Amino acid sequence: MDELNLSIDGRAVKGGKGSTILDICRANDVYVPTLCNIDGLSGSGGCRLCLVDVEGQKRPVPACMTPAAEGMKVVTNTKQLAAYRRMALELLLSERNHFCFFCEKSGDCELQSLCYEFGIDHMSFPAMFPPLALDASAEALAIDNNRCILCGRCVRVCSEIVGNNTLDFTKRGSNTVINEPDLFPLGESNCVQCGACAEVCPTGAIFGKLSSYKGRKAQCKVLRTSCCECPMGCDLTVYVRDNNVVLIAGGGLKGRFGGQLCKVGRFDLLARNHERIAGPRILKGKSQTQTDLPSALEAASNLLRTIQRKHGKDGVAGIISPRCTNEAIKAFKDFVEKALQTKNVFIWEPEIGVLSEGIARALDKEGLGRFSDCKTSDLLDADLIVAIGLGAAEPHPIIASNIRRALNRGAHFVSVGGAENALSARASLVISSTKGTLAPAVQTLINVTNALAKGDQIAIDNAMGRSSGIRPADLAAFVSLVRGAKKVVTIAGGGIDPDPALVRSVALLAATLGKAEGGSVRVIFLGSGGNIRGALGVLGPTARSMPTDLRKLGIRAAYALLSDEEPAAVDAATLGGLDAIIVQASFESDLSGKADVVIPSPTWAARSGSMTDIDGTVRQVSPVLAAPEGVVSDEEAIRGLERSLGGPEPRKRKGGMA
Amino acid sequence: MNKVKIATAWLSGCSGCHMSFLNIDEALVDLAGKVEFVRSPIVDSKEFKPCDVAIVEGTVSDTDNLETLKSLRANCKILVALGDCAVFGGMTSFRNLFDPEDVLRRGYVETETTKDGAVPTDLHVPRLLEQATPLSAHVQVDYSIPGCPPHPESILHVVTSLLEGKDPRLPRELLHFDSRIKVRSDAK
Repeated sequence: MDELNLSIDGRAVKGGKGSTILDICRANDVYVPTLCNIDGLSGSGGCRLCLVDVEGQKRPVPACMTPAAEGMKVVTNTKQLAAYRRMALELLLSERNHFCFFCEKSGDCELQSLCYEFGIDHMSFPAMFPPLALDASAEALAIDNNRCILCGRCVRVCSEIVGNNTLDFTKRGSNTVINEPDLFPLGESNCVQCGACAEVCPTGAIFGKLSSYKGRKAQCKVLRTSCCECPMGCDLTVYVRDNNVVLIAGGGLKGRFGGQLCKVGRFDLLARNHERIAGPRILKGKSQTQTDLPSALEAASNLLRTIQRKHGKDGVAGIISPRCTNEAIKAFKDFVEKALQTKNVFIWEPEIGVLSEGIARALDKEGLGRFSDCKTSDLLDADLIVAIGLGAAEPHPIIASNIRRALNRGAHFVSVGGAENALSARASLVISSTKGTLAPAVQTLINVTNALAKGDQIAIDNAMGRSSGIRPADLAAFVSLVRGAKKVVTIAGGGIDPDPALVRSVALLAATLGKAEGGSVRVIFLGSGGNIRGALGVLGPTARSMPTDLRKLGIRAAYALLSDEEPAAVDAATLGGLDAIIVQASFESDLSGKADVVIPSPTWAARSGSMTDIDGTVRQVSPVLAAPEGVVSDEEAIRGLERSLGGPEPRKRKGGMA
Repeated sequence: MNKVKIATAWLSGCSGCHMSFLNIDEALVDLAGKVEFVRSPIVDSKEFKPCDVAIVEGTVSDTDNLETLKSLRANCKILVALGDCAVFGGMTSFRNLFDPEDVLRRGYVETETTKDGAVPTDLHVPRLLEQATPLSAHVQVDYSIPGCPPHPESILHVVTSLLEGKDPRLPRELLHFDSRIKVRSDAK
């Protein structure tokens, strides 16, 4: 029998076996106050606010930790229980320095709100006033143990959801504080500053520095969008006040990957204060002058026409940032291909992300396996994760957290030819190659895995080591890890040379590993541009990333839609040597200062449309802020440019007359 | 009918609670017809005459505060703690995180704008207590109005309830720590 029948406050209710009393109360809309418990994390039974009476029990029991049983009679709300709850709250208040009047969380604080609920207008216990430290050493967030109630939500979220185990209880009794276990300041610890702890903290003990004192949640509009900073496309819950972003939260503990965000999504978006491109500009002589949008678009179309007349249709190119929405990318592609009549569309993105899609599709066609079936969630229950060519900062924080969670569960991690990073430090095996390229190493791994799949005898000798550049002992360790694996996921990072043959062999290795474990092909290609999957989808398998030298391809002018690319990544040298450059971007950069025409573009916060995440799921992108005056959507600017250019029709008429 | 006698006192606090009391605005006129303020920070009297209600702002931080509070308690029927300092310790109890001597040195000697300062040693200057504490650490408190400052409506609720013989404890909508937060109507 999987269902339990019990009574809560005299009402007959049902619940699943294995549920706690609290689970069943929540499922039946019976309110039980909680502080340490939060839906989505394990229970800990520390705060005693959820005490309930169970018939036959001498003392009240914590609902969050007590398994529900058949026939149980539960009472959640008596005068005595309320008195216990009040006492628990007063003890919490008296134990630390809960000074609401200067606390950033006042108004959004769960402890405060419960005190109001239970009518706590004073403390029956003397206040302890313990002098406790504030750790503000981390860039984005701070821990103030003065406001901590030791509920442990942060400790549990850091372990259960983020898999990083940075935070823990240190010291004992009433001296207990939340800290890195070795007492490293947060800024010097292994903390990834994802801010999951700040999101679950019921009081003001852990908070994002940039969200502090900007307003209460109740004073904000709550809007939802998808993060376009990397292909994970995490759900953002954005709190907005007076057209300013006050706070960014995730999609909730029960959301995708526990509603995690990384430092970029939660904090850096708030910190970003690059100079905005305020309005359209045209280069006149040696300096740029401000103008209106129609004039800028006209100047842009004149430039493109002139270059095309002189150097042919393929004398111009369109370059688009993979941060743009699917809709903007589609409009851009149509514009370049139909209005400018050239196939020169390039993605502003390093090679690997672009190459991988085409190669994976090709291998799909060759019947080597369904490469698109792998989801990032496959990492969570993988028992062997093979990462090839991981860069120092890779993989994306949420993928890294999925890997850590798998490792915490006992999975093995193999890093092949990658840089040293926090993950490689936890690897069961780090394979490095003495060769200049990874190709022989990857080929050898394919060979041994193939032999394993066929059940052949594998003889690892020094010759094999010499040809692959891998130490024979490492090869033997790899074989034994693959032999024991039931679910392998391969990750291809940005550290791989942009050599199609190498990328292909990485994909083949994934296919071979899949065969060896008797499952399907699981490979995740890490791309850096937020909507890289969308861009590849819209532009098709022949999509190309930015070549290093456009001039070599006969290109003399470029229309670059860079959206809110970081200015540091947009240096003028990238497009150096061209006769004309049209930049459509959110932020001023080296390039925008030199461009012939500058058109403003909305940032992530004002975009509208959709993006496609790393798993191929289309996610909605909604504006959370109004764009500054005069900044139109990317699609609107593209359409304006198309109109200004006269569209394809007038060109055809001209052709007809000739 | 005899007017109800009220005494108010300002111990270690910022006077913000008294300001908030004055912010009951026109209700003061009604109140003036019903009560007599036998003592307040603007009534210059060294002694405490017996009164019905004493309303006290601030923490007990020095020997003078303590003497005032004890004398008030001895002379009033009902004692009300006004504001976060009087109720919980509030702003003035920040100093409890430091040694009192360090606090005095910081205030009288090390302040950036002080030159040749010295901690007063005159016997007539009240001495700092080890900690700044809420009223309840020293005397029995009958009712509490937390808030920094308490909202005028919360103060008025307690005063009028006492005058009318009703339960003066704050209902949920008037109970708040910190200052009451206004929620904008266009949010959501």
